[in-house]
Amino acid sequence: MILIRLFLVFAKIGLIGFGGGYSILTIIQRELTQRGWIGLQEFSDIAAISQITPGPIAVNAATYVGYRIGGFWGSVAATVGVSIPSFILVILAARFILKFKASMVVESCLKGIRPVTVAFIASAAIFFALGSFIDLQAPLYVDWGPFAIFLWAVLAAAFTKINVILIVLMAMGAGLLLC
Amino acid sequence: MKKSKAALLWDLFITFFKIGAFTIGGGLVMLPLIEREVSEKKKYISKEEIVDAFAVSQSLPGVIAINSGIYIGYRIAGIAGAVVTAFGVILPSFITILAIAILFDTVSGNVYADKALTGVKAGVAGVIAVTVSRLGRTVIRDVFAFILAVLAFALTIWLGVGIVAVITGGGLAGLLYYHIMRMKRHDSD
Repeated sequence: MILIRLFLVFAKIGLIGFGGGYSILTIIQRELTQRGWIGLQEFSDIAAISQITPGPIAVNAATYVGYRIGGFWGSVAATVGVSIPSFILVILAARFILKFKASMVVESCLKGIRPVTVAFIASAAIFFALGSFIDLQAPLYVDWGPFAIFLWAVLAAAFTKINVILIVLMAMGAGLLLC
Repeated sequence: MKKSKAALLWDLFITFFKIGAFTIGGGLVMLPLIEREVSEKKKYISKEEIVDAFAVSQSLPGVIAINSGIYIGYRIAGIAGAVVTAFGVILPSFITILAIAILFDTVSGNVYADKALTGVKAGVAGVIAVTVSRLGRTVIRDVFAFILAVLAFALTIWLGVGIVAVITGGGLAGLLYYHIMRMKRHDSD
């Protein structure tokens, strides 16, 4: 039955999908086009829509593909499927960390893991910036529209009480005007 | 006065619904939102734990936004907390995409979408930069942590080293260094 197959395929995607949204999109594409469930052109449109609509990219893609293949319940099956492995794995990991937090060994590990995680997130911010105003092919060329938005967002987040959601929405509006 | 469990769960749901609705362009976008809403404003969990949640979310398979929602929900209110946060994060996507899929027969990316996405990326990069500096001040407390952070940054940016390798390396380095320091202190006592 198509709903069960959808659920199983997306559960598999949730289980092997390391690295977040963009890499999961690639896996979804491979799994679905191989099965002939969706064509490449339609998939690239789904990928574009998933990135600009609110919500995590992979959830957007799962919901959309699920609907195309199995209607409303198809989108439920795909979305629940992609989330189920997270449930099991993350709760196990959280239990482990909570249980052994008091242990000196785990605490020492966490003390090493925290700074590298923050560094990783910093590099992710740079990759975000890369997609908007820095071009690796021509590093000296800066696209001023997005750069101005970036600087404004830094100042707004650092020195004002403006809600983060509002900052992102205003950046979106500014993108329509300036980019 | 302590909040009742139901009120706490409802609050978690609403908070993560908001976070889900404004996670545009990838899971990391929710980091600044979580830091502000869950830690800074409501003091549900510490900044260290937000960093732990992200370390776990990124090293496990799955959608980062769902993973971090589940981790934080579980940490604050157990299994029920994990269910409501996951549900909250997913629901805005689900509603929006379903509406789009039902209303339009075919979808296609267009030039306005590209412009809006460019603006969002630039703005989000700025907001993440500020959040990173805040979290950094909390978790980088000594020279060793600073060296680890610089090293990890360089490795991910220039060599494209993956998050699992970076976290494993950081964990091992932390284990060796902080454990040895503790043993030394123990010996000198």
